[in-house]
Amino acid sequence: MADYQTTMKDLVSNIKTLLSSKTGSGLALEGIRQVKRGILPQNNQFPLITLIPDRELLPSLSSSGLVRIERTVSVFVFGQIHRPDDVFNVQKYADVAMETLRDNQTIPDSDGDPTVIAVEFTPITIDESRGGAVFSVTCTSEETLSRTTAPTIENNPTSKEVLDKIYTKLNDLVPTASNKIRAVFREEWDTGWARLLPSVTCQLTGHEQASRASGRDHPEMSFDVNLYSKVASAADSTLLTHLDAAEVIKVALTSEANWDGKCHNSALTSINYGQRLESNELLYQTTFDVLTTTRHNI
Amino acid sequence: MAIHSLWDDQYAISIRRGPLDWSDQSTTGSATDAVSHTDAGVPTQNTSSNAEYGGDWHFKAARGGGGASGTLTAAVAKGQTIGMPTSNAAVIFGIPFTGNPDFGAGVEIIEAPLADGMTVGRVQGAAGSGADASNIFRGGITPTFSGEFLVNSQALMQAGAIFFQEGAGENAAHKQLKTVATTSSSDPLYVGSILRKMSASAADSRLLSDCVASSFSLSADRSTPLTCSMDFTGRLLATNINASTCADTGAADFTLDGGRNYTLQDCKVLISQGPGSTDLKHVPVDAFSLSGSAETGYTFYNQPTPQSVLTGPQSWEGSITIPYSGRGTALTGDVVQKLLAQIGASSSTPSGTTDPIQIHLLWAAAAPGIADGSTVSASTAVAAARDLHIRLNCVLTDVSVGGDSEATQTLSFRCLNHMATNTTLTTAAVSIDTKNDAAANLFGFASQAVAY
Repeated sequence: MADYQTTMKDLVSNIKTLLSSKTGSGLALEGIRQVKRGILPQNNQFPLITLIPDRELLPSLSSSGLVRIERTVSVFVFGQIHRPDDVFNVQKYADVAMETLRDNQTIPDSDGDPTVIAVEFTPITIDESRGGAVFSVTCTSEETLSRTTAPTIENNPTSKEVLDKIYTKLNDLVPTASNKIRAVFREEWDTGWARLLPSVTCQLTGHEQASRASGRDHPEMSFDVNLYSKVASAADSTLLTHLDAAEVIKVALTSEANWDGKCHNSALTSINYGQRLESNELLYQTTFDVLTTTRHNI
Repeated sequence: MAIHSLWDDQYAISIRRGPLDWSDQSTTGSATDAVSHTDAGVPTQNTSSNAEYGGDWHFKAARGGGGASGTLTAAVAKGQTIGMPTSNAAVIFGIPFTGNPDFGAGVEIIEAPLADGMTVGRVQGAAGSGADASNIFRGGITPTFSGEFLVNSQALMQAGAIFFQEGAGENAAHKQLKTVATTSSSDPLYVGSILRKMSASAADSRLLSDCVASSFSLSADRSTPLTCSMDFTGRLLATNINASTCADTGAADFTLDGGRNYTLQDCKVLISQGPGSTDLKHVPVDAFSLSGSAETGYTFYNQPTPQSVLTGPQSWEGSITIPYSGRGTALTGDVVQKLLAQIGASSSTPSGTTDPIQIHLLWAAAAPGIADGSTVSASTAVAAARDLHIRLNCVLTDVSVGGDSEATQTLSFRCLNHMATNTTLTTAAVSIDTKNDAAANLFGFASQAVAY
């Protein structure tokens, strides 16, 4: 991967590597028992740091599809509080974790090459029980997204027609085993999507008559695409597999400029990472926000 | 009570092939070059054979000479209209201007009231004579229109031809707007008419009759697709047009071009870092702007409307924002500074002359496989329908550094024609090429032979 480029999966891995490098004897994070990615198991060895993907923002793109993606990762520090010093240690570890990232700025990969252009932080928040601290780090990286364009734009497509294009594009990912997507659904009418994990759902979330030129409206349609993966275990690999599938969907959603002429522009504006409890099953959930601008000639 | 709702606005733009005789307001006969409306706003309907010239048939969807429909087999004849072709027999005229722009009616200037000792100048009117007469000189400023629209390739060609004049050409599906050499005529070859529909069938729509463009601008950034802005100045503003009968007694056609828009993210940009056009480097761009202006002159000869219109020299300026580090080793801040200063680029001493650089913006359906920072010998001709290429021959005038998370540099430039001799154009200052949906869909521009 070229300099200043990364993925969410690689970013959390590179942050983990960077923080882990400070946990040795005599180093700033000495005492941290583990640095982890994703949710925690039932039993842990404290103090620990875990990294949770938060979101990716895709600002407007430059030419050639160059985008400076802003990826945010939450850094959690947990400790067991038995004495006052334990509280101070949690705060210290959070401070050191932030300083480590701030002093480095480039979050290098395994070759030592920079993967990010800039790093920004939220303030550190201390848990009321004093046993946890969290801050978010936002890393800006470059990426080039190529798109396919249709020469002419259809007048006044329905939201269903645009949704069908998105669905078909995503459904075409299913046969390729390495994509690790078992099924794609329109809407979430029942829990069928939760029985064929990892699964993807897509639905219209908004339809706005946003802007107008004389003789031509530009309705904006918003779509949510959700990726669900079962959290079979708290192992890091569960999250990493989920992030691999998310990257595949991201590429698919950004590869269409106008969805075969159904809209005059399409943009993946953000990706939000989270969890969801469905049918007593904990799932990793990633939501992709797609904004399409269509045409309506008067 | 009458209300005009802005949502109901529709605009159309047509071209009439000139040159016109700006003093000919004849409404009968067979004059091909009479103006479209008399000073009183009456349509001039001259006919020759089955062709009707000027007057009320500017926005007729069926192609052909005036009242007769037909197919285009060559450049349209003088006095006939040009629309955006959708087939060899049909044209459209609609254009989606943003912001509901209206026409400026023009301003009359009253000069030099008689200096006879009165505190306030006086107007006696036509009845005054002798010492009672006031000495009033009236001058005309012609009506104007400023419009902006998201670029579709056909709409760009249609509107742009009014600015580029003889530089508008086509070769089958290949369409081109190009700055022309100095030997081109000053008489406008293409004269526009712009219609704003105020209602479907009442005599209240507004028409800027016989206009030429005085400016032409293109811009795009990360948030805004390629946008064209133009200023027009017309001979006459008519405000009593009936949109249902102003297309050869039929309704004016407001159909819009259905082509794609051009977002910056779908554009590949090549910039040469030396004098040659074969040393094009691929770089990402955050913003681009190009602005052309023409010195358009009007002669009134003591008449309220211009009796002569001359399109004078054009000047072109623009800017483009690229990463300060360029891409790879190409177009770094140091390289661009050297290009600006012409120091050390090829020798160790500054030069009194400067070589132009090339900037190519390419929108192609099949994205050219050009890697960041790679070198391309030359961009190739427009290949697919609705491809759009903008090529500029530039001299740098300034470089400024800024940026957000990543440092950027904004290159300001002027575009100049590169001439081999005083009559031979080697590289046009500005060349805009696009490809239509079908080879048979011709505008009818006079210049049928254009090369990329």
